[in-house]
Amino acid sequence: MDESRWVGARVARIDAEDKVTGRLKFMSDLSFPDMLWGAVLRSAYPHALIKKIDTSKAEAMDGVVAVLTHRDVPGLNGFGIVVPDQPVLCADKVRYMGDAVALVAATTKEGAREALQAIDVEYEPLPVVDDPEEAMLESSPRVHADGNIHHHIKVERGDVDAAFRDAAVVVENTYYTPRQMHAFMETESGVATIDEDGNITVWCGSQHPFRDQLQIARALGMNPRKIQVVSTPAGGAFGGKDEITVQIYLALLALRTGRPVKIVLSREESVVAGMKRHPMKIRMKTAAAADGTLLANEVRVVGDTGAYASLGGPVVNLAIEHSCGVYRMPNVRLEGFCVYTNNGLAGAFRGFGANQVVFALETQIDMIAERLGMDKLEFRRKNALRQGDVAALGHTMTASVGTIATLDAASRCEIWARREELKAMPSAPHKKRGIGIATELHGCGLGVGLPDYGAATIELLPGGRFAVGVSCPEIGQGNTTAFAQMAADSLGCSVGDIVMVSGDSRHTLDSGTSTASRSVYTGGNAIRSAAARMREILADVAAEALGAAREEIAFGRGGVEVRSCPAGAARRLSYREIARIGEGKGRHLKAEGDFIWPVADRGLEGYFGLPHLIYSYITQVALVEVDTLTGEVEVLRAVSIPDPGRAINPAGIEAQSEGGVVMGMGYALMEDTVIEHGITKTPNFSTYIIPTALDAPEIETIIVEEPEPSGPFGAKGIGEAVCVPITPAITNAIHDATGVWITHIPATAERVYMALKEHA
Amino acid sequence: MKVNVVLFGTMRRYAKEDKFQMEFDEGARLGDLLDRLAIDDRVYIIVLVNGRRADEDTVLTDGANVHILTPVGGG
Repeated sequence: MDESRWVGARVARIDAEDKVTGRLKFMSDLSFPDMLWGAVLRSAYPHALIKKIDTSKAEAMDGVVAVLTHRDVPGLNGFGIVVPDQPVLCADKVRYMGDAVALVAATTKEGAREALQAIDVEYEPLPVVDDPEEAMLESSPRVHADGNIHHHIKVERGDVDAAFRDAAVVVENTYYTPRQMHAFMETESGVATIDEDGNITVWCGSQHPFRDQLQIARALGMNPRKIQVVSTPAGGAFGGKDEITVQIYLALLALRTGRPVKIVLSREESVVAGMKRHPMKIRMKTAAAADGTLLANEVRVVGDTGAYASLGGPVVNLAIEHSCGVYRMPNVRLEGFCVYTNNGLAGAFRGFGANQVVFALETQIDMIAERLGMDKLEFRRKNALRQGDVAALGHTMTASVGTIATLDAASRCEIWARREELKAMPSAPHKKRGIGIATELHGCGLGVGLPDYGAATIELLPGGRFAVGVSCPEIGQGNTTAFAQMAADSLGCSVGDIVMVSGDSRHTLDSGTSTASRSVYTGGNAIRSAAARMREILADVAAEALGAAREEIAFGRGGVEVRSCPAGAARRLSYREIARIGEGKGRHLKAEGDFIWPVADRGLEGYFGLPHLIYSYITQVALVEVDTLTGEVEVLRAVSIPDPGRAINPAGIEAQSEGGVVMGMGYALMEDTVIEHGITKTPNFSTYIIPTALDAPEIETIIVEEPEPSGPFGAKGIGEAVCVPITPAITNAIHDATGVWITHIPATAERVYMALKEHA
Repeated sequence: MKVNVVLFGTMRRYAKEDKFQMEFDEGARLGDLLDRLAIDDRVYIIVLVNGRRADEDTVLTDGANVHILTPVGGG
């Protein structure tokens, strides 16, 4: 039953029509009778002690139904995926401007906001810690009592010092990366309802309903079974809704008031309070022999995680894992620090630590190739890991490795093959053109030491369609369409006969997160496991009804038939007929499947979440034009060459690839959430500039398939890699155009202009 | 009966090894296993029995695979 009718086809997204017609209701569109509006009082200081909280005036206001403070948190007053160090409602101290101090529920949205103004909080301001390297000093004020270094990782292999001593070329640079914002269209929003038995349902777009359920239960001191979390659909997430956002506030207010409560964060509140990508300072020293063989890499990463841990530790771990990229690197000394400051909050974000270090590494690679007079693509090909090689962290690359295939495709793509010709035709005399290339591998799944599991359900519905349940939420990436395609081919029916159930802690089994480029691989394998069991059940029912042996039953074309039966004979049952037979016999035709990820052959003592066994691969190429008078950079064309294993839905991969290119381009050229002394200076899109459709280049996606044997139909994940190497491809292209190396992104016009001036 | 236990991530602090076998009488439940490992925080953990989420009342069977973890994710 492995024929691919739907897998590999350009299937229209199953949620497309509802989304483009506006019929689909996101959580921020939901409304319930008697619903209240919730609002969150945020801190007035980036770092301060709370001396007093007086809510009496707010409570007395018309329309205000409840005002909650830390005293009203029944369970643990904390949340956080790894360590619950972020207070639900701050009791004695605030650590960033987004810290929540009180909650209000009122009959109107405006009334709730006004009531926030009436809450009297007395603070004693503390010195602000806003430089991560200063924060690491013992003398620095402490954001948390245990010190400001939340996490430290160190990995050493080989003889780094000897390698540097013997090298023909050593390049050493410091790189700075910005605090990128997820910029999802739907801000953190949702509704909580409560029934007469005290069961709570939280409707809130997020990336792991079952973990949200546990975090809510922990804060409410409630049995998780009494809490249902619905996470699908989310109006974009990109990692920014992996951690708890407003779920606990919603649940607390519904619990207190007994009424439905809705919270929709304004954009400004979302920017100040929400997650960002970790700004990193990266010192990188890389060595190569005269023949172009890479010898060693020494890396020191300092990541600014802001006020709370969330996934900061794992992000820095993955920065370390990805800091040697796709290359054979026999000698490494890699060190990472994840540091608390009063600068907002940083956590999961598409790429998860790779974006920063791949920018640094791919710039180093271009520098070395240039010093040695080697072709930049050939230099990468020479040093790329092959299947069977030992990677920088010491694990063996046993799964499929697609670097060479993506580089080969890059060498043939038009902007690379005709690069000299294209460079020679700038649109104005004061403009210069350049072409850049970069490549990366990206870990799929959670890595060694973290269990990565999935489960799926398949149920034959009365009309002959199948309900397929996978909990990994649909956050806009299109995983439900890929699941439906894989289910259709596994069951021998049409995508139209699949009804996807997603992201609901009551109606699906736990399949983990929609993060880590993992959901298609995990959900797909769980669906295949469930489908195998479903086929056994269907074969039983059909064999009995048709009077045939079970082994004679074949699946396809929306039903089953008896294999030995000549074509045209009436020994066939549609799934609709099987459903009716099952119903008549009182048989519930439902199957479950499960899957646990394989992991790399070697972990790192004392750390978990790395390395990975399965990686996706991607090479990206950019053609840019630099205005030498203003420093402005325009990306004219981009080519994105992902290796997703097997493309379940090529149209979906193209969409991911195009979105990823534009996101990585914003990171390269425009985006930075500026925080000064703990205060956000770019709280909305008037000052936080992201690329628009007018900025987007012509993007070509060339899919290279290196099937992964352990993946469903050969697939692995691609959601993150697509936004990573495009950033250094663009900055390398700026160098190719102007001779200036970009080591600090975003490469804004001002920064490029100053660099050009210095270079001249 | 014997069950196979695997501890992940921070849960590894509850035993010397991260993979081991435990022996129970017939009818033992997951709660008994958690008791014996002295795992006190039972809200913010995920336990899989044969790949499926389970709770303290889940009855263990001979040869069952039990995975115990905190729900750390990310990419």
